[in-house]
Amino acid sequence: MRCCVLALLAASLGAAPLQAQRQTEDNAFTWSGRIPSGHWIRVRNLSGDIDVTASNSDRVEVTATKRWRRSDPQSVRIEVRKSGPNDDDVVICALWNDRTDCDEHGSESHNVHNNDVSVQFRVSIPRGVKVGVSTVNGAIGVEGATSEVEASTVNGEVEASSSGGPVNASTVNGSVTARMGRFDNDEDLNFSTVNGTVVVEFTGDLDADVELSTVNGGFHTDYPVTLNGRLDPRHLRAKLGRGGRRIRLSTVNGNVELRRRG
Amino acid sequence: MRLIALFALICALGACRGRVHDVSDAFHWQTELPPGSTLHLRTSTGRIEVTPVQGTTASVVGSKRWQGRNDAIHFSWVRNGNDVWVCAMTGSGGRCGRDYRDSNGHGSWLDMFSLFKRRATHMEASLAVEIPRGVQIDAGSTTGEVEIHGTRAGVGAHTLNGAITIDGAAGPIEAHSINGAVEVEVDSLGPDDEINLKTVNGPVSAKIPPSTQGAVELATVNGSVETDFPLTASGEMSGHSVRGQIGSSSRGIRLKTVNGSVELLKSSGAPEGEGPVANGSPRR
Repeated sequence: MRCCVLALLAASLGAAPLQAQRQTEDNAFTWSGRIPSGHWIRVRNLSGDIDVTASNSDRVEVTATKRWRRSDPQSVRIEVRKSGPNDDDVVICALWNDRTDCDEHGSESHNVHNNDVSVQFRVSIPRGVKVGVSTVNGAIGVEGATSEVEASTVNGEVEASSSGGPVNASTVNGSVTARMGRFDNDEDLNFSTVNGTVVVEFTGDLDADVELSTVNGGFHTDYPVTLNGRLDPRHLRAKLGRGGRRIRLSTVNGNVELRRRG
Repeated sequence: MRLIALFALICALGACRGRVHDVSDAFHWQTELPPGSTLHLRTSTGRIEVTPVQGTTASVVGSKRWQGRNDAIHFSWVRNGNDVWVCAMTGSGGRCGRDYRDSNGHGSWLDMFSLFKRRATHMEASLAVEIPRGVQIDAGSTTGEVEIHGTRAGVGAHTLNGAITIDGAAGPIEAHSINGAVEVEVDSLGPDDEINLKTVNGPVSAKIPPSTQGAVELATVNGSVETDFPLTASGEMSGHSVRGQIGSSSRGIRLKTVNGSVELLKSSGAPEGEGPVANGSPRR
């Protein structure tokens, strides 16, 4: 009798469908257009990485690759929207079903569980175009930007650099690395994660009020800071140069590093 | 009947442990010590207290305390040039001098067979010292506090179990403990006088003149770090450990512990460079 049961079980396991193969659709979406210098290209994603690189042309080029195992890739659509004065800014959104929406401020999602489609964006940008990219599950890499960068994710690393700036970057689970050249404005800057290190590199002298915070980790600063009174193991506040803009680097579990180049 | 006999035996054994002896002036010693001399004080168990005196005569009073019949504690001194060692010794072995070693009261091996041991136990030998200005102090105990007041030519102090307190001092300071607080107040420092304070279990605190400059290292593992001096720092740092700079001097100021707080505070001392009578490095 036991033999029969075992045989039946083996037969049923053998009859089970094989695990679904991962499938890829390259160039599932492409967009190319001119965005004037000083205006934004924004990409909003929920699942998948976003990689930004410098473009050799004067056009912004965006391509998306879809990956999935069981879900329908058509359930994710990618839309292009214009925003800003004279519609010079462009927002590209990956939308899961009808339950997600997005604009220049961010994306909103409602119950996109059980959908294993992910979208990987590749964006190339000409000089002077500002970059705003966000995802939830995926890493973000921005390289070769020359102007402002905003990059955020939840689960994944953020590595963003701009020969100008400023750069703001955040994640929750992952490290944040940001590098900036010289830039003029004096807006506040924020770099944050919860689980991971935060490394931010500026070029040359800096006039700023910096605040570094971690709960489980240490601090490193290439910029000399003046310490006085009781040192707070979780916060390091200092005025660099003449002070000015607020720069916050924060994590909970990880080190915080303020680096200087040049 | 048996119970009564056993009780009597226990009482007898208790009585044979011996009474406690306490001799407060067991040793008197004094000598001329010119400025630039170093007085080395050594005891294995006991307290060392140093106070300043006018003139050039240093004096040491040794006191001892032990339990048992035999008095195994004696005092000894050795002079070698400008270095003088005064040592409290227990037992018949041991050596006083640069290579100080105490036998810790170990007597004859036959003692182990004796129910009624003759050798002393719970031995303590303390030193109360008066030293002239300009004499450097090097005080060491294994178990016991070290307290040094008003010395003007630098201090070296070390103990394994006990606190170290130094106040009214001038010149370089080196103080190491393992189990005990290290608390130092310096009135004045020469331009190159360093401060090195270390312990493992206990807080470390230094009060130094407000005009002091130097390369500062403050470190603890479990505890807080506080500084009255604005430290310019870069590189690795945390709330438990920081390397920083006060002014431009490269003179080292190091305060370290493992379990305890670290404080670098401003004293109300004389300006830097006005105080010390003689400069030198404290020697252990």
